[in-house]
Amino acid sequence: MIASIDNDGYIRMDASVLRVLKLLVLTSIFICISGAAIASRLFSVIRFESIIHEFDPWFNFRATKYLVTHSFYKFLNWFDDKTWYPLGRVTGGTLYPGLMVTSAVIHNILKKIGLPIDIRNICVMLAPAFSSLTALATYLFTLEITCTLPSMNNKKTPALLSAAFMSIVPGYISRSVAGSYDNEAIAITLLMVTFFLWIKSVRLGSILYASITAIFYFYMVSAWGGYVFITNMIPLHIFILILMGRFNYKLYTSYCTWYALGTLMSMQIPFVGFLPIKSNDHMAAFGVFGLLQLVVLTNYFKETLSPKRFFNLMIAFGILVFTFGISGLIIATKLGWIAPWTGRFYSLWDTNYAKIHIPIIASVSEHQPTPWSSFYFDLNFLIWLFPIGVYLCFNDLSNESIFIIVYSVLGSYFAGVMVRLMLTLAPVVCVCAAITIGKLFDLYLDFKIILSKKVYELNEKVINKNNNFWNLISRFSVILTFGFYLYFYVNHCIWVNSNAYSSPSVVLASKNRDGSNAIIDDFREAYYWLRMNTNEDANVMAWWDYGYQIGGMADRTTFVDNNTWNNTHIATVGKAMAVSEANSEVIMRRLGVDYVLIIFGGMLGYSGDDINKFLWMVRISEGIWPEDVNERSYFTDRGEYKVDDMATKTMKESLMYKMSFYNFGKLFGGRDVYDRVRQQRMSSDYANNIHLDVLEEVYTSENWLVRIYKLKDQDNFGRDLIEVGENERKDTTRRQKRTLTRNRPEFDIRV
Amino acid sequence: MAGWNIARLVAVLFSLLTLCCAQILNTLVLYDSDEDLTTYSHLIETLHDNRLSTDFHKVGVDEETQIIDINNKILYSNILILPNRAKKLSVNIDHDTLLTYANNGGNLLLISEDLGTQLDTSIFLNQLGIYPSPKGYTFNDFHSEESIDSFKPEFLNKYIIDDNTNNEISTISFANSAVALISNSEYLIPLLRTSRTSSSKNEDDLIWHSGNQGYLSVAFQGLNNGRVLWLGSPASLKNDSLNKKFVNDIIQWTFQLKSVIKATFSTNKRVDSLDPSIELPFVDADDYYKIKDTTYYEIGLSKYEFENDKWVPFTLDDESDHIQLEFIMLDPYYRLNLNHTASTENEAIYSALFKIPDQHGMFTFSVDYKRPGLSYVTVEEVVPIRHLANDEYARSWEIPNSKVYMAGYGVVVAAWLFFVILFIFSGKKNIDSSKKNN
Repeated sequence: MIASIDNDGYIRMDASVLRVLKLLVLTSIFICISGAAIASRLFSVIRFESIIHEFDPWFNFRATKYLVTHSFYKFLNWFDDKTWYPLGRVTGGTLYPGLMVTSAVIHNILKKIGLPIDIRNICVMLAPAFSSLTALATYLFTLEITCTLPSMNNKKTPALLSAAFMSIVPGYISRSVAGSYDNEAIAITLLMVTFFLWIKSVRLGSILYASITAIFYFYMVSAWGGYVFITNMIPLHIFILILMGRFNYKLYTSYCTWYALGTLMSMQIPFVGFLPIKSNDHMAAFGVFGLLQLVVLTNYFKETLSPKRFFNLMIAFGILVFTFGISGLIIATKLGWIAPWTGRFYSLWDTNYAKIHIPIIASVSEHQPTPWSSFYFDLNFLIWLFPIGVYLCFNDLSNESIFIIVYSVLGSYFAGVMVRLMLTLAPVVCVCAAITIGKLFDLYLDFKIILSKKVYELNEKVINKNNNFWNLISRFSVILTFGFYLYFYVNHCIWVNSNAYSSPSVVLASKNRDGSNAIIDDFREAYYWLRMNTNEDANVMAWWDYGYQIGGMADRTTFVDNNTWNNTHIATVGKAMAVSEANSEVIMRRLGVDYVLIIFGGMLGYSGDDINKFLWMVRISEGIWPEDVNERSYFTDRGEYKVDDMATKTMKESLMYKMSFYNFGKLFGGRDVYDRVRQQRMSSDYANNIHLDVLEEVYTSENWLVRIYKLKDQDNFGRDLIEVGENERKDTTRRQKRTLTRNRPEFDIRV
Repeated sequence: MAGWNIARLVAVLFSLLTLCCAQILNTLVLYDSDEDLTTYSHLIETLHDNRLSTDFHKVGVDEETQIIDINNKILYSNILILPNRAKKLSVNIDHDTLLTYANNGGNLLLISEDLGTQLDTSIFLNQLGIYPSPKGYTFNDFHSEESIDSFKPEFLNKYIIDDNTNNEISTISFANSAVALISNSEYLIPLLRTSRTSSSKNEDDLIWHSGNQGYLSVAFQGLNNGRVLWLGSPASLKNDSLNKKFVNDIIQWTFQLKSVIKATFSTNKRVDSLDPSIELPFVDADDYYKIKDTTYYEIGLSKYEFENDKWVPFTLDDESDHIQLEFIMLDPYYRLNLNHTASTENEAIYSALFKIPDQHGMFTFSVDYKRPGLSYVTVEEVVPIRHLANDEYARSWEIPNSKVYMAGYGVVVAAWLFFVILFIFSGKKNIDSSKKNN
C-alpha cells in the first residue's frame, strides 16, 4: 500500500515511499534545470552552426587540437612559432591548461567507450555541459548556506530556485553559449564548486573537505586567471571572521589545509609558477595564513596567562607584528622579491588608470566599466532581490552567511568596474535572490496554518473569517506577483540569450531587403582565402584582435594576437598601421611582413572595424614612440574624427586609412562615396585618388569586410616604390619624358 | 568522341606552342642601319667567340621586334643596342618593355654617343639612375695631355674589367662620348670615370658634368642579378678602333659569362656542443633547435667558368673580403665570418660553428653577399628556436647552490617527524596524568 487513510482522516504514507517520491521529484527538477541550461545555450548552434565563437576561443581550440594530436608534455612545452613572429610564444608556459585538458580528457574517454566525437564538437558543447553542472553546484552552495540560516524553514526551496536562476541567468550565459569555448566556460563551475566545498569545510572543520576544496582550487587555477578572486575571497572571509571574534579551530583547520595544499598545487601550473609567493595579488592569502598562526598562539597564551599579563603581551605583540609585517612588505616590494601589483589589478581600483597608463588594457571592450543598464539586462529582477537576500543573511549572521555578504560586496564592486566581471557577480546574485524568494515563499506559500485552522474550525468554532480572507488575498497577490516575475525572468533570459549573446561574431547575421535572413561570412571567406592562396610560412600582419582567428582559421603566422603579452610588439604593429606608407614600409620589411589583413566596415556598416579601432593603435604606439605618433594629429582642428575629404593630413597618409578606403570609390561609380559606419561622405574625386604604392590589394571579401594586401617585393632596380608609383600617376606624355631626360638631375655627392 | 579528339588536339597544339615560346634565343642585336653590321662586325665576331648566337633586328617605328611574350617572359637572354637615334626601338618596345625585360632577368648592353641617346633607352637608364648627357653636349678636357678620344683608362671594377686587362690596355678610344651622371643607387657600378679636368657643355654653355663627377661607362646589376652595362661611346667597339680585350670583358660580364656566382646549397645542423663533428639530427617535426644548442652552418658557393663552361669553387681573392653569416631575430645576434673549410669539384664550402643565443624565437640564418660586379648571393632560412622543456633543466642535485635548500628541506622533514613522534608519545602521558589529577 502506498497510502492509507487513518482513523482521524489523515492520509498516511510510508516514509520510504515518500523518500523515493521526494528523490524522484528532486531528480526531475534537476533534469529540467539541466535541460533549460543546455537548451537555452544552443541558439547559436541552431541559428548558425557548430562553430567556435569570437576571438580567444579560437586560440583555446587551436591549443586543444595541439593537445589532442600531441602528448601532454609536448603541450606543456609547446613553443608556438606561428604567433608573435619573430618572437614566438612559449605557449605551454603562458596559458591556463585546464580548459584544454578537460576537453581532451572528455574526448579521449568518449573515444575509449566507443563514441568518437570530433574535438571541435566537444569544444563547442563544453560550455553548455558545464553550465548544467554549475546549476548543480549552485544548488549545493545555496543549500549549505540556508542550512545555517535558522529563520529559513524550507531549506531546499532557495537552493532549487538558485539553481534554476543560475542555469539561465544572462550574465553567465553571455560567456557560456555553445561555441564560446573560453576559460570562463568551466571556471564559473569550478568557482561555485570551490565555494561550496569551502563553506562545507568551514562548517565542519573537516580536513577532508578542505583538501577537496584545495583540489578544486587547483583545477580553478589551472583553468582561469580569475582564480585570484578565490585566493582573496577566502582569506578575506577568514579575516573578517577573526575580526568579529569568531575564531575557532574549525576555521584554522580548514584554512591552513586549504592554503598549504592549494598554494603548493597552484604552483605546479607553469604559468602561475612562483607567483603565489611573489605576487602582491597572493599576499593577502599568505598574510592571513600567518595571522591565523598568531591567533592560535594568542589563544594558547590566553588560556595559560593571567588576563593582565596577556593584555600587555598582546599590545607588545600587536605592535611588533604590525611594524614587521608592513616594513617587510615594503622592503620586499622595493627589493623586487614581491612583484608589484599588475596593471589589471590597478584598473580594478581606479577605472581611469588603464585609460591613462595602459591603453592596451583599456582598448579591450570587456575591460570597460559596466553601464548601469547592463545590470538589469544581465540579471533582470534578481538585481533588486539581491540586496534583500544580503539583508536576510545579515539577519542570521552565521559564519557561512558572512561569506555570502563578503562575496556580494566584492562581487558588486568588481562587476561595477569591469563589464566582464559581471560573470563573478551573477552566482551570488542568484543565490541571494533565491534566498529572498525562498523566504517569501516560506511565508506566503505556507497554507498549513490556514488548512489546519479549518480543521480546528470544526472543533472550536473560533471564526475570524474576515481576517482569514485578507490573509488569503495578500498571500495570493504576493504569490501571483512573484509568479509573474519568475515567468517574466524566464522570458527575459530567453530573449536576451537568443538576441544578444548567441552571435558567434565570426559569422554575422543580417536581413535581406525582403526580410529573409542573410549570413555574412566574410571572415571565414577571407581566412580561407589566406589558407588556400598563400605560402604556408607567410606572415600576416593584422591588428591583435584577429591574431587568434588568423592562427586558428587561416593557419598562418601572425605578429600579434589576443594574448597581449608584449606591448612593444603590439605598438610596433600599431605604428606600422598609423604612420605613412614610407615609414611603414621600413617597419614591415624589418618585421618580415608578407600580407596585411584589415577589417573594413564602411561598405556594410559594421562598426567594429579597424578604422574605429584605429585610435587604439595610435594610442598604443604613441605610448612607445611619442615623437613619431601623435593622437591629436588624427583629429581635425575642431576635434572631430573625420575620414572624409576633411580628414587630417596625418590621417589621410596613414597606412590603415589608405588600406581601408583604397579602391572604395570605384564601388560608387562616380557618385559620392559614403562610409556607412562613420556616416561620412567623401567626394568621388578624392576617394578615387587614394593610392597605395608599397602594398597591392590581393583580396577583398564579398561585403568588403576583410581586405588583404600584399607587401610588394623591393624594386629590382633599387627604386623607391612610392616614387615609382608617383611617377606613374603623373602620366607624363612621351614629349614630357623626353624633356625630362634632357634636364640635368640634381644629386648629392655619390658615396 | 570527336569532342574528346578536338580537345586533345588543342592540348597538343597548346603544349607545342608553349614549347616554342619557352625557347630563349640568345642575343638580340638592335642596330640602326645596315652599315652598322659592317662597322661592328668585329664586335659581333666577339659575341660569336663567346658562344653567343645572334639575332639581328633593325630599330625603327615600323619594325616589329618581340623581346618579351604576353606573360612577360623574356625571349632573348641578352640584348645589345647599338647607338641609334630612332624615335622608337620598335613598334612594341618602349621604355616600359625594357624595364619589364630587365625585371625578368634579361641583360642589356646599351651604347650611347654624343649625338644623343635613343629616347626609350634613355628613360630606361634614368630609371636605373644613369643620366647620359643629351644631344648637344660635348665632352672636353682642355688641360689633359692625353687626347680625350684615346687615353689610358683606369677601370674601377675588377670583376668587370679584370686587373690583367686593366694593366694591358694602354689606350682606349672613347671618341664622341656621352657622359653620364649617376644617382646614389647602390646597384650602380661605376666603371670609367671622367678625368678631373674634364667637362661637358653645350652651345648655351650649360654644363652637364664637370670634373670627375661624370662617367663614361657605368654598369648596373639589379636585385635579380640581371645586368645592364652602359657605354658612353661606341668607338671602342667599332672595327677601326676596336679594343678586343675590353670588348670581350664587357660582353662577358654583361651577358653573365663571368663574375657569376651562386649558392649551391646551404644547410644548418645541430651538433654536439663538445664535439662538433657529431651531428644531432632532428628526429621529427617537433624536434628543433633549442636555446644554447650548437649549430653548424654551411654554404656552398660556385663560380661560373666560361672557358670550360662549368662551375668551379668560388674563393675570395681579397684578404679583407669575407662572406658573413648573420643570425637575426629583428636584430642580428651574431655576425660571423664564414671560413672556407672545404672544396668539391664544383663548389667551395664556407662554414661557421656557433652557439645559439639564450633567446627563443624565430631566427634567420642569413648570408647576404653583395659585391659590386659579382652576382648577389642572398640565402635566408628561418628556424624556430624553442625554450628549454620542463625536463631539460638541470636537476636540483646537479646544482651546487641548491645544497643549502636541499639540506633545509631535509631538516624540516626530520624535525617534523621528530616532533610528531615526540607529540604522540609525550601527549598520552599528560592526558593520563591530568585524568589522574581529576
